[in-house]
Amino acid sequence: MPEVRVEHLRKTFGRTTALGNINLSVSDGELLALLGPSGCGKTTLLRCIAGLTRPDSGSVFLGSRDVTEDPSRTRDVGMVFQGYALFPTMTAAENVGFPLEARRWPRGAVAERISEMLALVGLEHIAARYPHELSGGQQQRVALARALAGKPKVLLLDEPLSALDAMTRTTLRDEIRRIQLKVGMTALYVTHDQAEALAVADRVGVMDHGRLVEVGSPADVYLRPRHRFTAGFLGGRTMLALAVGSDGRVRWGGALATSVPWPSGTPVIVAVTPEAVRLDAVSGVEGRIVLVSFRGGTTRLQIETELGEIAADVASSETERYPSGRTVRLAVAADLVQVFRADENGVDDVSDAH
Amino acid sequence: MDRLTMSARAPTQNRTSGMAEAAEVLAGPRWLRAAALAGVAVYGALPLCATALYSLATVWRRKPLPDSYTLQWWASTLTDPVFLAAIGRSITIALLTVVAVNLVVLPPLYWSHIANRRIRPLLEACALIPFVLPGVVMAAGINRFVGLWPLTAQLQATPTLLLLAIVATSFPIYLWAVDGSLRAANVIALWEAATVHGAGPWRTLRRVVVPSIRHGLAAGSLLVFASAMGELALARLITGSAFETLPLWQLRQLRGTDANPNGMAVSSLLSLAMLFAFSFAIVLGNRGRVAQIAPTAAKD
Repeated sequence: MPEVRVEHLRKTFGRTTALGNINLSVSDGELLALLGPSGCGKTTLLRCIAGLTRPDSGSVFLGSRDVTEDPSRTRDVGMVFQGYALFPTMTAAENVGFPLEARRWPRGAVAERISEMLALVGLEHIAARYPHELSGGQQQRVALARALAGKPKVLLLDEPLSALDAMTRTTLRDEIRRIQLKVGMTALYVTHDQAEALAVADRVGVMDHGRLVEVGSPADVYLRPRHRFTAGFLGGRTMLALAVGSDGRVRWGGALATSVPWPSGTPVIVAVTPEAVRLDAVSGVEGRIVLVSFRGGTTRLQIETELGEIAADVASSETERYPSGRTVRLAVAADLVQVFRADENGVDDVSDAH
Repeated sequence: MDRLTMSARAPTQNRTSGMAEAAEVLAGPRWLRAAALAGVAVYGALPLCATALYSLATVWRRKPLPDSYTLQWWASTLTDPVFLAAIGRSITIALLTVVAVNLVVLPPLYWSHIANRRIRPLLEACALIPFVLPGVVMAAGINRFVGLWPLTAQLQATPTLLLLAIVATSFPIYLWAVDGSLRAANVIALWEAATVHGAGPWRTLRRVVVPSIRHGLAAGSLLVFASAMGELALARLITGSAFETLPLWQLRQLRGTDANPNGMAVSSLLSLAMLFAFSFAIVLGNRGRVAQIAPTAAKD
């Protein structure tokens, strides 16, 4: 039985469609990340599930219960907000106890649950401090403890880490995942950061312009995107505009040749990951390195070609061979690219390259 | 070598002094700034000092300072039962006004933030009326309005009607003070966090919102108290001498056969001291922070 189910959900704000017919289900104990650029509707979807935004039509189910018409406070969800939204005049412990107090737990049980929750997020020692006496990371842990305290059916996280520095973000991201697995909580996690979504989620739902473009495991959406938008949004791919040749193959000079099942002349978009670009190939197309940016283990090169700039990754140990300004010959590994029809906007127009 | 160091240092020096000069030009010379500050201080303090001296003066004729001093005015005013009754009425009305404004204005204002933005224009329009209409006009309007029906006509010239009228005309300052602090406290975010975790609007107001905006509530209440204490036009036209408040008593000390201008000075200093004590208590309660009245940008 799915813990969260959303059916035909629609919401518009004026002329903007925030949600256009969304169908989604999250199973028991699963963490689903909603990933997309700002304005894609992911936060609106989360708020509809929380009961903070009223959908124009469609239904929201929590467990077997239709909660579409229920007010937020009876929905039995826990939520972590982007700006923490801790109660400034309450201590960390009082913040964590608030949902229990609001749901009229007996006093003894409240105290017990507060210490249990603070221990879970590793903050027993700051129970008596006020939010303004805590660091951003600590505040967000308190917010997480508060969201979990009332044993909700589902945990909703709205960009929970976006206000934190990079170090804290990574630590807290892993900790949120550990805690979610430990408690076995069903969770929806909204983020615009693909690294965050791919790292924490069991499944990732990619959203764009109020549509749920595709849902799949992190590896699926990253390595084998089925939609052009996903390919462009994840993995730093370069999108090349080409056309199907007379032999039924898509070619880019000597750099790439791959068969597709579409008629000759069909315009296509080839999505090329930076890992798929091979440099110093025997045959290929020429390009000039215009930007070199160090990324740790790999270094990303932006290479100016006849089709525009293309991104390529090389091992950082080889960076000296690729200074900015150098001309290189590049080829593209055909088994690592996705080809999409450019003349249709559908989802299933992807061709497995071979 | 020496010359090199010298020439290297010279431009830096020039630049610093140049910047200081620019600052000096913008702010004016030091003596001018001091003089301006002193001028403002004198402008504020002079009437106060004069009032204080007058309340202690026996006679004060064509000289910078009174002829001689006495505590007679203080003693007689503070023991005058008519004065004590008047100030008692004013304090009672002002306190009731504060209570009424808090009960009547805070809930709809809170509601306009968390649930229904559409009642905001209505609230704001109501808040503007007392500012654009002179007190005399409002008092006359209120008198005629309650006179329209037999039931409400019973209210005419009663302290209850005066209280209602003062509540209706002094709430805007409270509204603006509290509106600013609601915004600064980011009340929508607090409300969402509270309601998602099981609290209703009333519990949220009591447990989360009121504690978060208590400084704004205190500031707004103080402003309402001060304005109710000083209300003259409404008191004069609604109840008149039947219910003599402090401003009416003060007005009587300025003219008429039993005029007592020195007593008026005493009463002015007393109400000033009372308001000052309240403000001081609020500042102490805020642990030294000045109560926030103007809305500030929400902190992200």
